Amino acid sequence: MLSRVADSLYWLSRYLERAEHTTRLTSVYFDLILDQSSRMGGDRYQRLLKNIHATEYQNLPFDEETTISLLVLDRKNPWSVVSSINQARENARQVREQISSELWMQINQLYLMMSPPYDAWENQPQMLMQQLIQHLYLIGGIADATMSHNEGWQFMQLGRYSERANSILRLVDIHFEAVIGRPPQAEDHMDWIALLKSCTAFEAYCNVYTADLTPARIAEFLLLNAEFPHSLHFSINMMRQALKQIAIITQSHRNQELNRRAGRLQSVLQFSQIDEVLADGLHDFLKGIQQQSQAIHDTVYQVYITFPVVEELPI
Amino acid sequence: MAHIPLPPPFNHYKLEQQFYDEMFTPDATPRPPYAALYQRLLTMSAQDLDRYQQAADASFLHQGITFTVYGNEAGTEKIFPYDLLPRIITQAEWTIIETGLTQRIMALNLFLHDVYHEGKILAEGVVPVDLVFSCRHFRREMRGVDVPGGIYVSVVGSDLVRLEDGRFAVLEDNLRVPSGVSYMLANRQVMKRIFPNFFSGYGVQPTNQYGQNLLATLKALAPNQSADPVVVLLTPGVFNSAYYEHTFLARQMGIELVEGRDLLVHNNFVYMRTTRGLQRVDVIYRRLDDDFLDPLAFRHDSILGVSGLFNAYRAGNVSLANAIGTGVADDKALYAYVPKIIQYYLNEEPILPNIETYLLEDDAQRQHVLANLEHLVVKAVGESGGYGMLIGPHSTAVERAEFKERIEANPRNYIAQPTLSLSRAPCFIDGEVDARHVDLRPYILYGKEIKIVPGGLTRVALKRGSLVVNSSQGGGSKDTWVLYE
Repeated sequence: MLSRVADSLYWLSRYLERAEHTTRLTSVYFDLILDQSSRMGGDRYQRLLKNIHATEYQNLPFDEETTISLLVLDRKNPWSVVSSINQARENARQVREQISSELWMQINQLYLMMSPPYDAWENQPQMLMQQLIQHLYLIGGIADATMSHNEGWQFMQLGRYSERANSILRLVDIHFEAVIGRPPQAEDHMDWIALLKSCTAFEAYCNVYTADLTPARIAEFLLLNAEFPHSLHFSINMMRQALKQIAIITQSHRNQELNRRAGRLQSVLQFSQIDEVLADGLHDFLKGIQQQSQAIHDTVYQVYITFPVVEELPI
Repeated sequence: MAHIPLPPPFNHYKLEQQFYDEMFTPDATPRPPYAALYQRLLTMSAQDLDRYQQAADASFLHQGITFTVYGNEAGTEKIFPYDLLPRIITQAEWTIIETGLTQRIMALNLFLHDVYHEGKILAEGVVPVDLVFSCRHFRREMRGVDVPGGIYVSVVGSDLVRLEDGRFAVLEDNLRVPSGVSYMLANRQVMKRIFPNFFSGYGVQPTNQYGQNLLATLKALAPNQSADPVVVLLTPGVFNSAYYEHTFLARQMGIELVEGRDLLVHNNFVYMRTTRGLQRVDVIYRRLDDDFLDPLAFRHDSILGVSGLFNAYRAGNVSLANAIGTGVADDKALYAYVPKIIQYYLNEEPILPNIETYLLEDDAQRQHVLANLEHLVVKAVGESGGYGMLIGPHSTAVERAEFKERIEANPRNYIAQPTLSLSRAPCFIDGEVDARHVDLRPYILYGKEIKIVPGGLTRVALKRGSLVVNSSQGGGSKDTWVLYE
């Protein structure tokens, strides 16, 4: 597969994952503020902005209309949902012949739905967000069901789960720092529910631990559970699996370093215990994982995408 | 002229006797191949047609079958307007088109080989030397270069028009990088989906073998008779107006769609950069003009091409379709000599006629043209896509004065032709069926042999009375049916 194509497929699914995450966060936020007392609003809004890399907007009013236009519809905000969708579609267009027609048509339809005018949505932000998430789930399902699970699909898996791992890291880090760091409040449990819902994890959590919400269990579930698709451990497992498949398919002889890094990261998540992690400092733990995951991304590029040509030329 | 009233949805349809009508004879009876379609349409209301039209448009939009309009910042991606009603060609008519184009392409290919080798046709004065050497698309670098199988033009799209008397004539040969074949195929696909009941029982010859034919054509060009050559399609990239077509063809053939930055040349071999490392490339179907192919050989500022590609090509290590320098044979001034070229190489009379063409370097012809600009069409010889054209009867005095100046400054750069009365076909426009001018672009492949899929792209000038069918100038297209015997 062309290196450029692998690059586009990787980013195509990263952007789709990003669009889904931003939409879900915004949707959970709208849900949360319906029940909140006036003094909580500012904090939650700042956390939302921080999560989606939009802190430059922190001085704008945080009413529903501004929020939705900034985080969902604003083309100038590179992290907005519509920007992610446009980027995903642009990447899809560049590899149009490598993805199935079904997948392309669904991405294109989502793009068309998010092209102006969107008057229909102005008064129904939650409906818009539900539609978006459904579209994005559909795209994920179509990709899995209509594409060969070949090299290209593996690069898409890699992109999807790299993005997801990063989003979870950031979400948990920002949340714990803000909520654990402040004096306990009556509304705390709502923030914890919101955190779980931001990872579609509330029901799955309850199935494991009942509705008894404790920070340590929540951290354990979101970070170390190996079975839940929106956990960090699960995401890293999937990344590792995709990398293994890619190495097999490409018969790569340059991937030892990559294999070592991915294996080490996976082991950290497999053998860590949440009480130790919390005792040693959650922030540092997450920061370490973030750095390792960045290193994996860089190594993928060195091995498959931007490798020096000289090494490969026939003598 | 007597207006013969037709039943709805044809009640606004105007037959004008100076144009050949594809569907109706001059006394307003449907021609035999159209009779069944006509009867079927009479059972439909404008609302029905409108519904079908919307379904078709949505299908194109959702599939992202779009093209890019240059020089238009907002909304640069547009769907290519699709007309619901098919254009029908009989097997007898098709046989003439097929044999005529085969003859023409064969002769033009021999001509290209000749001008880049001995130049006999020039030495004998059949075609003026100046005309060839002054052509912007003549590539001196190609002299003495042998191309695989002697095939210069592998992929051709020739523009045909139907004259008043119903004969087809060649308006233009596109021998460089003709586009539009994906629309021919997409139109058929949409037609089958929207109007399955129109289609069944009509006996329409299929077109969807084009992808396989194109791949076979490209493989036939492989250097060293390699059994399983690596074929790629080289695109200028996602910003090119025909990008959709490039992705479509690559998918149809199952080959890699590459950009210049994916390729590199080492020791006169071409490689592409893949996740497995470097892979050799044998045949490049390039959808990039000569100028941009190799910054070392041609335009130095090109960032779309591949440095060293021309040397690899000249060394015979990679094949290009089409060859470099084919533009000299589709120059609009050289066009006037094609009938002579056919006679010279094949010793045959041209099966498809040319359109009468005035060469403006000739004093007498130029004087005649300048005196009659308001009746003629003037075209710049190197342009395509309907740019750089003056349509006399639709022009203003200012435009004519401007063209007069341009012609006098550079007569070699222009030709003139009589204003054509392109044939007209029924189209569904703004809720009614009306007549619009159409042309026909069949797609010719030349590998081991010459193959033409039965059909082509029928382009439609959607503006009432307009003669310009180019997609960049407000043209649309319709499905083209070639019937079995």
